[in-house]
Amino acid sequence: MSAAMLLWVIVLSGVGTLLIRLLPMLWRGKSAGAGANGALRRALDAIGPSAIVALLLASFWSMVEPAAPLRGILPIAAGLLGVALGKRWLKTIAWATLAGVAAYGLALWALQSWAPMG
Amino acid sequence: MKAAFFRGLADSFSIAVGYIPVAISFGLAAIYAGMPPFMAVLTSLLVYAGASQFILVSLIAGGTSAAGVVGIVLLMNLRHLFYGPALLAKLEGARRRLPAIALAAGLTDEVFAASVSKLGRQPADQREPWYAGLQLGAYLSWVGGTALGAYFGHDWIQDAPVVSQTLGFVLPALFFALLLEIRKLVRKRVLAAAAIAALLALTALPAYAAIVLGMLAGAFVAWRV
Repeated sequence: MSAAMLLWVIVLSGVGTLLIRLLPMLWRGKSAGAGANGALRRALDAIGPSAIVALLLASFWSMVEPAAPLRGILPIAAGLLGVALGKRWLKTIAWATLAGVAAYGLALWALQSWAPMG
Repeated sequence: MKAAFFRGLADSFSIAVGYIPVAISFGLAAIYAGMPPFMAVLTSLLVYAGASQFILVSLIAGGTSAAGVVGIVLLMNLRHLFYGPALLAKLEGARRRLPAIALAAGLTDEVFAASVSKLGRQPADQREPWYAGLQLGAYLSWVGGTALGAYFGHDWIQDAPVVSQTLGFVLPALFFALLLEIRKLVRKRVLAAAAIAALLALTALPAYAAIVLGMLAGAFVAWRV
């Protein structure tokens, strides 16, 4: 792909993504005069938490190799435990995230040290 | 208002912790795929949607047509259709000064998730500047991380595969921390419906489609109860 075409791809992808984010906001902004009713409001409020659950599962899905599921699951379990303990003791999301990443990295390192891949 | 903006900027640290390593990886991937570094940074500046940027790079490297690349990137980002209305619901009652385009431009998965978790705790008149600070911090970390990866990343990561693999856990860890934070905001059956739908969909569909189905399942259950 030529540099000019690549530039067009990037610009069109950027404008399209912006419109995907913007247009529903403009639509809702115009129709929100009366406010959302109870059921619609509950549905809108549920989208965020539901998205977090789905994003979490989708990110795990790509990390577990079907050929060696334990090798993927054990570090993930250690990482989740690290996040949970980090959240309990350190309170903030950022530190909990870092605690989970540290636990994941340690478990990964330990697994690869004891049972290196062939 | 300034204080709320800077509080949002500070709260973006949790997102930046997740973004910077992934953005560095994106910068690296773009360079490996043959993109000039400034094009990699331009992609992050204009598209600003993590997973679809990786797909964009791999499709370009694979020789996909320009129309095909744009179509697939936009298809992947369709889940963002639902974020704007949900964000506006959180801003209801708040004083609005920014145009919608300024609120929409930085509405990524992670900014949306962090907003869902924390926006309700901000005083109503400070929600908009807090959100502006949050999304600006996230955006700068993503673009800055991409620049680091595109211009300097190769030397750092090449000889440390465990570090490289560990960085892959940053975003899942962030999502789990956010889930622990917001799990009491909705009924358990809503989260369970989202999880079951996403898991079932993941067995047969690409991740972006599974995410949309999970969101719709959770919203549907919340709408029915």
